Amino acid sequence: MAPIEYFGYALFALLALLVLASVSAPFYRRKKASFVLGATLLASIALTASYLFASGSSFYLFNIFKIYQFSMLFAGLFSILLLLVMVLSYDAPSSFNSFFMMFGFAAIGIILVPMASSMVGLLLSLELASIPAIFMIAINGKRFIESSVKLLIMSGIAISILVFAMALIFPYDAQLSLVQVSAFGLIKGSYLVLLALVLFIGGLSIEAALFPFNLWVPDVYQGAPANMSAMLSGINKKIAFVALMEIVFTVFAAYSATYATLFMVLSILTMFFGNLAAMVQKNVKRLLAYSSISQAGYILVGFAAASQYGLEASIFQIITHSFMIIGAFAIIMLLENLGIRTIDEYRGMSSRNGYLALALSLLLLSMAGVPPLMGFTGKFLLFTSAIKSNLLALALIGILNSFISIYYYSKVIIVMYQPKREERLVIPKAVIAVISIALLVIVIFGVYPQPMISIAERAASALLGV
Amino acid sequence: MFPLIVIAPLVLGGFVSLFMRGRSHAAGWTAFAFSIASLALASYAVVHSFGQAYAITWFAIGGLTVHMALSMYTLNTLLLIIVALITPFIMLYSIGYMDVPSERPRFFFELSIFAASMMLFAISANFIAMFIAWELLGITSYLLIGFWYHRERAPYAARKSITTILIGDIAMLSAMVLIWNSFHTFNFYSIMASPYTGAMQIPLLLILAAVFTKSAQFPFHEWLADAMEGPTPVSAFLHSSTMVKAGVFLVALLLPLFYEAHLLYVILAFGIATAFIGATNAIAERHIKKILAYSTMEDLGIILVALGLHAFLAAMLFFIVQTFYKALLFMSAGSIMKANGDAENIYLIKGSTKNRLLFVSTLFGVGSIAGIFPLGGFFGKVAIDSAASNIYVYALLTLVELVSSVYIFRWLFIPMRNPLTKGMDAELTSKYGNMPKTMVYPLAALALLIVISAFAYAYLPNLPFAGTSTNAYAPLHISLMAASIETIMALLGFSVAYCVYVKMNLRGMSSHAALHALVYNSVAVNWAYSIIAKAFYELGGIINSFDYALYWFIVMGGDGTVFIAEKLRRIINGQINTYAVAFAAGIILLVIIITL
Repeated sequence: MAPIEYFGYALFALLALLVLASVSAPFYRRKKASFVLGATLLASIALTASYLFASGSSFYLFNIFKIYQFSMLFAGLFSILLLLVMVLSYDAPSSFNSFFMMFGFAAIGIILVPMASSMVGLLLSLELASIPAIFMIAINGKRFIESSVKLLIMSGIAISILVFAMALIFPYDAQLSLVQVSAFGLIKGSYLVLLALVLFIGGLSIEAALFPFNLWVPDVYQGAPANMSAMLSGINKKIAFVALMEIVFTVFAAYSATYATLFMVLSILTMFFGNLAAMVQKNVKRLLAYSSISQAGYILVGFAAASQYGLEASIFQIITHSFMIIGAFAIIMLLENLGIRTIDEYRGMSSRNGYLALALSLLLLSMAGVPPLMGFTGKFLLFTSAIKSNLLALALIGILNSFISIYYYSKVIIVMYQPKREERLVIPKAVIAVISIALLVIVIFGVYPQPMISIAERAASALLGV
Repeated sequence: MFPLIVIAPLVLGGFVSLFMRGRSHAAGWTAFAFSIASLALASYAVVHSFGQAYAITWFAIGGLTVHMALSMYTLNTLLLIIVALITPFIMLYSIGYMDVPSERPRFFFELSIFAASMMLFAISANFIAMFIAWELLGITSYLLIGFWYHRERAPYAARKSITTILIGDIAMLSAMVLIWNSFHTFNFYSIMASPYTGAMQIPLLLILAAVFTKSAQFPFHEWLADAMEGPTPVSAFLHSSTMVKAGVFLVALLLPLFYEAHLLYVILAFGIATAFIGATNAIAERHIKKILAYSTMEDLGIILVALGLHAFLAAMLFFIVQTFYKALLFMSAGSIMKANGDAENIYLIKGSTKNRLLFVSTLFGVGSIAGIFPLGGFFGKVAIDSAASNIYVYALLTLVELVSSVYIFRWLFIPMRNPLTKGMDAELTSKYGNMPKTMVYPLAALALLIVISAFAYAYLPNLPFAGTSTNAYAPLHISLMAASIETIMALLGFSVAYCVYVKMNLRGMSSHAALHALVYNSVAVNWAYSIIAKAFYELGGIINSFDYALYWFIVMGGDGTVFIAEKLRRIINGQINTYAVAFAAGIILLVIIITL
């Protein structure tokens, strides 16, 4: 066993410790203990994953999990994002210890999704990631039951469709393995396989919030507490994209023309739906829910390009968007607790707290794709990848959509900088930390994107095996 | 990568002082300490990595790789050291100068960033790094010129400068696009190394336009005089080593290209025109700082003349010596103004001899600008005169030098000779006597540097300018004739000024006098600006009406979009069964697509 493999086992041991921590969490009297434990474990997972990423090694763990640059990038990214969400949830009204029990399970599922080497593993980790989210919303009180039930039903549909898709692919690949199938010549040219492709895309589109599978998204994001909205849109949505990448770009690699068309249609529909519907929203949280739908459409542009470069751009944009949306929802959460919900109530935010207004403005501008922020670089990569794959029309539609999106993003920013005298807002330190981290990431990698681009490049080539 | 660390202390110091309390002088001393650190690092960098080049990949996207290239060649290190050396002086002077406590953190922040961007400019080796620094200089100078934003004229002056500079920015950006198209590189040295093509001519002209806006050359020179609305340390900085020097430095850096493109005569012509305009305006001006501002225009014009004569070394020599005497003179003007309650008119300023140290230091600056042996200015000017092979150019240069000697002695004599009343005498004595030490001692040090800078004449020819030069430059030498004529001109200027302003005690030419109108042509230039601006305004009106037509289309389109959006919003009705139906419809849609 090569020395580097010990780190793989260490990663696994850390995950096992996370299970222990989350099982034992309800028995702690103080919430600090489980917080410190969780934070330490997540930070160690992030460190181990980034070490494994940097080492560039590739090996299997127990034959069901694969450690390579693609999985390690996302394992590291998700553990950092989970850490941010955990910091946000610390002061949530629900009991943190019972939140943490579910959170730990979800975290394990989330981190295992990119590492899964077979469809069964993928399905199980997806389940593990999405089911605790339902409870994490529900434990906040009776008024959150509705959105948790909606999430439950839609996740149920998604999972049954995914299982059905796997059943269709089974005759062609009895091992249900993710990597080997791409080499099989057998898998080409059957309608059953094409149907399986459609069902995989449809099932994962529910979590990834692609139109028309995403109608539940605004209701749930708005109805859930903001820390959970941050988790759903910043992390749970992204694992669906990761799963989509793992399945489509490896198993169905031979069908690139077909899935490129599918993704192009979905991308155009999703972008237009998200942006148009966001234009008429008055509630900022719901506006962000629609904006996050439109961002899913942008991410899909890279999928539609169906090239390594497109994949790279999508990975870059996934990283970008998760930081942007978690930062934005952190602010929304703070304001929501003070009863500030609609755009009109945001008036005069700059004089109430300058940093908050500046941070939200920067995050929104980044989502709109204004240089020199990271959102611009992401969109630039995505649209160039589309043009390189001879999808000029898609790139133009994407640019048109960015143009539309400026309408509603600037609406919020303008209102924030309009004068209105009110008492000062005080931001809790935890929220400041989360916002500042998100801001730092989008500004630094917006001005100097090269390190992040090369990370995305390495992950993409690891997934495609080139 | 290493040269970027040189800039780090200044940036850091800027941010640290921004978040400090303004009440004490802590912000200023912090910025000063960090600028000293920058100077130390810069000196170390010059020793450690002289002659090296660096490239940092900024981003690489699908075949297009954009670098930030930096280099530490002779020319780069020269400017880097000059800027790093002047910055602590400016910071030190500002500590005494900035007497509005609430504005101190902002001032030192902006000043530090200004200095840092000039340092970045100094070491940039490609158009990308250069343009970033160029833009940072533009925006920080805008902030600094408009620093007293609550005063009446400062915002106008700042807007004027940024408008002029933005014209140049557009020219520079267009030049960069053209250069990329024909060379596929942004690196200065790769461009200079590749064989010359005729395609270079237009980009070079565009770069010249940008240089003229930045270095305040005719016809873009008027912003410089208005920029005097900024705090005096800013003027001292802006006119000596920062901002305006960026333009001429770029010409010096790209001189081989200009030479090959046969554009030297353009540089020469504009340079001499500006020198003439600057000198004549300076003699008619009464604003203590504006006289120096016009003098800067003249200096920059002379540097361009030298570059136009292909006398690279003479230009660089003048470039170095001008830094020190101009910084000193501006600081002196600021100190004198402070003692006189911010009076600006030289006929209202009194008692400039009260502070001995201040006065003696000022004399060094005045002597240097007039061209008195053996101060730095003498060597700079004579070296350029000696390189002037064309008799007309030589004659014009000599005339400009005579005028500059007259106006600088006028600048010195008039405040000296202004009569003092009894009560005022005591008050001024105490004001000059109690001047903050940081507003006097830096001047004395700069006076010393003026003397030392004369040695650059001996040292400069030994430096290896290999990184930039592909053609032989005119050698640096001083002809005895040029030296004696320059000395005669300086003395002639002194005696004219002495006779007119001391003996005859002439109270200045009335603004209606024909001579004044001829000499003070700033009015005419501003009038021409307003004509051009009006023409553009008319053009803007026409475009505006077209835009409105387009705007209605957009509004209609926008209304239509909002209508669709409203309909779309209705789909989301909160009913989960609708969503499930939509899911089924989606699957059917996808199936239809694959069967097509």
